[in-house]
Amino acid sequence: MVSDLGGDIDATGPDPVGLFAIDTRFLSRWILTINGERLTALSTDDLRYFETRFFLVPGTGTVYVDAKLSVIRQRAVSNGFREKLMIFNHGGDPLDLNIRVEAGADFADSFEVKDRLPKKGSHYRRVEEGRLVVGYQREAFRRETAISASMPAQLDENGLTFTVRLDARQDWSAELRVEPFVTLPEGKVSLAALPKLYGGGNGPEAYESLDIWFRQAPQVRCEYEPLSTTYRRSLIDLAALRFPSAALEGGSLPAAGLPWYMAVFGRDSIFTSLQALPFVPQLAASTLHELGLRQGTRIDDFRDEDPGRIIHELRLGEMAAFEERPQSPYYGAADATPLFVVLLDEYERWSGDAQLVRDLEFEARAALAWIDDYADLMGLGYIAYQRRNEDTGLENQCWKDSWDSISCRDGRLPGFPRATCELQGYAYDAKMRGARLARHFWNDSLYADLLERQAAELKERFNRDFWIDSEGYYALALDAEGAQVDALASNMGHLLWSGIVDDSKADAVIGHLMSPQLHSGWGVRTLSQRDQRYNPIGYHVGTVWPFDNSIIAWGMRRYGYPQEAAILAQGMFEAASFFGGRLPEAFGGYDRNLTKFPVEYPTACNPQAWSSGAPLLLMRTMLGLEPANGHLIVDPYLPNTIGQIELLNIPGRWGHIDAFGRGHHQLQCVPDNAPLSEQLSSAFQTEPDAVTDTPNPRQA
Amino acid sequence: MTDPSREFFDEINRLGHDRLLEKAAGTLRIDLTEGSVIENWFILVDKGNISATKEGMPSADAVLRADRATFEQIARGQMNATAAIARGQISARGDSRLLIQFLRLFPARPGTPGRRLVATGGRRQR
Repeated sequence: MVSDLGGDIDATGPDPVGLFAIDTRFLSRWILTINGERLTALSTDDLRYFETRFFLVPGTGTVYVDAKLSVIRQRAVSNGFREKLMIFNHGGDPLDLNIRVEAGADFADSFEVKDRLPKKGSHYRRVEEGRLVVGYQREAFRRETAISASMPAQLDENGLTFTVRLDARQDWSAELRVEPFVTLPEGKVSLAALPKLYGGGNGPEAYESLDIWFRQAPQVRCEYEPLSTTYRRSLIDLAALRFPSAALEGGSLPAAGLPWYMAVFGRDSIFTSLQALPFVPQLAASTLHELGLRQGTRIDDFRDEDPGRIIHELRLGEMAAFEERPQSPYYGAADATPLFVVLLDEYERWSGDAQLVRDLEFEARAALAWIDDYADLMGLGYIAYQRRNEDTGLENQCWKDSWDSISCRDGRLPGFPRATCELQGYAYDAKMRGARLARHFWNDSLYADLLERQAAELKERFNRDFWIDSEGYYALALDAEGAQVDALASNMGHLLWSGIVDDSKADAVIGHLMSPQLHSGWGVRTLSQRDQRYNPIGYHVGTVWPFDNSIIAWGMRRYGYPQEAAILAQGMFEAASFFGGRLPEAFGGYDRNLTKFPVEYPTACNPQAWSSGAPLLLMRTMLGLEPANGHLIVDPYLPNTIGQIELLNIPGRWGHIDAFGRGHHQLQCVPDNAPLSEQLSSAFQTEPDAVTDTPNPRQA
Repeated sequence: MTDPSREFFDEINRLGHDRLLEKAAGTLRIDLTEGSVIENWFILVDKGNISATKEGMPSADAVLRADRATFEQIARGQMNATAAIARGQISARGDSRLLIQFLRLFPARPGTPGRRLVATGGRRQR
């Protein structure tokens, strides 16, 4: 539920406000007035993520008038929401109050709100015994919202009114109830009772309480304030983003983001689960179950479905139901399928949950088979993508899924199919990890040998076909003709994580990732400054993404570059401190020397799962945590600005274990934080070495 | 004239086993309505073994209800069951997980090569 700072909802404005559930907006208007006046918020309390308290006074003028009336709205999201309205008369005279709540619902589908599309069904309103019902109907699709109050109120089609005479120093309260309903053939069903098939499931208050969630997660002790604050914020946000799993009773997987992406997303759920493995591994288990359950079984061009393919997105609202959008579910991601196998293996390494590996053997094999049987669109032995749904399918099926994210250095957009580089890394990793699973759990060493052979061959041809020898980095992609798409982009960092990079090439790759063209001072940009389509506030063509940086840091540690990984970690925690500990989806790729703070990219998603997971993964990389032979290896490399980290009660196959690291390391690449005026004046000096520059970390 | 619904149930009996349902167990009842007439089918699932019968079962873990014309379209692959359920054209209640697993058995559109993953036989895929 999203409202303005005073607790009101008015969806006619530009902000995505409302009460959302199952991809539908069940309330789009909720405005409180007292004697015809709107109120002003004094402060807002986020009690827990599903409860909020608003403190208000009547009047909206900029000049403060001594108020005798104060109002508290206490709201809890619970199968819709309950709002306790409390009004206090602090004055010496009784007051006649006309308390009005305007209520309405447009039942907008999440796609409609983003794209501003008109509705095809019809709305209705009626006053029933003790409640106002607003509804929407289109053929057999019917949704309703029921609004009622605990105190007698006058109900009309546009809201409720209380007429109250409030004596001096008295208070008055009423509880309002807003409850969504889905009309099924057998009758009206509330959200709480809705079967999982329709997207129902328990709301946040029914999950293990927030206290248990915190108690089960590792505790952090760190004197570096941004890290402790960010860690706590991440845990809260990941709790808020839990989405009920149809596959696992009581299980929940991470939805991609609030409020638009409270849905099952393959890629986001997998990456978030990977980031959170050492902290809240239950997310990974639910994710694996759910994605296995939804795996593709047929060829369907409208949904870009193939047998064995892991879903991209599942939606339950009107547009998906009437097939105006393909998300029922949609399979147009080329990375989720190999990543599914990667998550299954990594999860077992941490948890020792061999049973799940055996339970999902069929799904994992089908995912591995997809790589060879359906993904090799160009016949070159690479995963490539091209949408078959040309109306509403996704053009780019990698994580950078905006239309212009894959370009050449000169700005040209390659044709389709496209084989982006990180997909090949994921394929390599999936085959290597799949081999381990086959050998140790599926009793199939022949299959293991085959996978390892395939992986070795893939690594060899990848390093030959994607490497741009003249420049010393990997091409972003191969185009439809198999030619290199030569933009310099962050995707190479994922290659490091996967292990597909030849050891001899790692140094050059990392040098590019840390160079001023890609590294902004805060983190690695999605696209380098020298590429034609670079734009510091272009969604995938110049911004800095925390999730991207967390995977890149993981890759740097894999290849033995802990200092660079620590620089990325430090940059992210410093950036987080500007956002109250909640890293945004992305922030601007402006050079850090230019502004003193990271510039937030405007987006409707807040929080976002893999941004909340990024600090967790960065803590893992700084501590060098790696499960091996049933134990947890701790190999810390911390910058001295962070000091020391104690991570207590890390869950895993070992039970619970503590890890400790001390920050000895003075990072050699510390971004220049000198004020702009200093930098400008030094640029006018005649000595050539006075020009400031971000030093190359590898010079030492 | 062939009855697509009947063909779908015959196909289930012919296969006898589908690995896609190996983690499922339960009884699914399908109510096909035509005016005031309802025809019941029962799909028994037991760790991948599947059978379809018109013989009444005492209880069902999940129920799908659709008019005959709609079900025929789904059985032929001309309509997607998940979307049909979401818009209320088919009603579904009971064990959601069993239902989702069952929906995977429906074929792809006519004319699609390899109409769906037929996952029969032993554990290993070679």
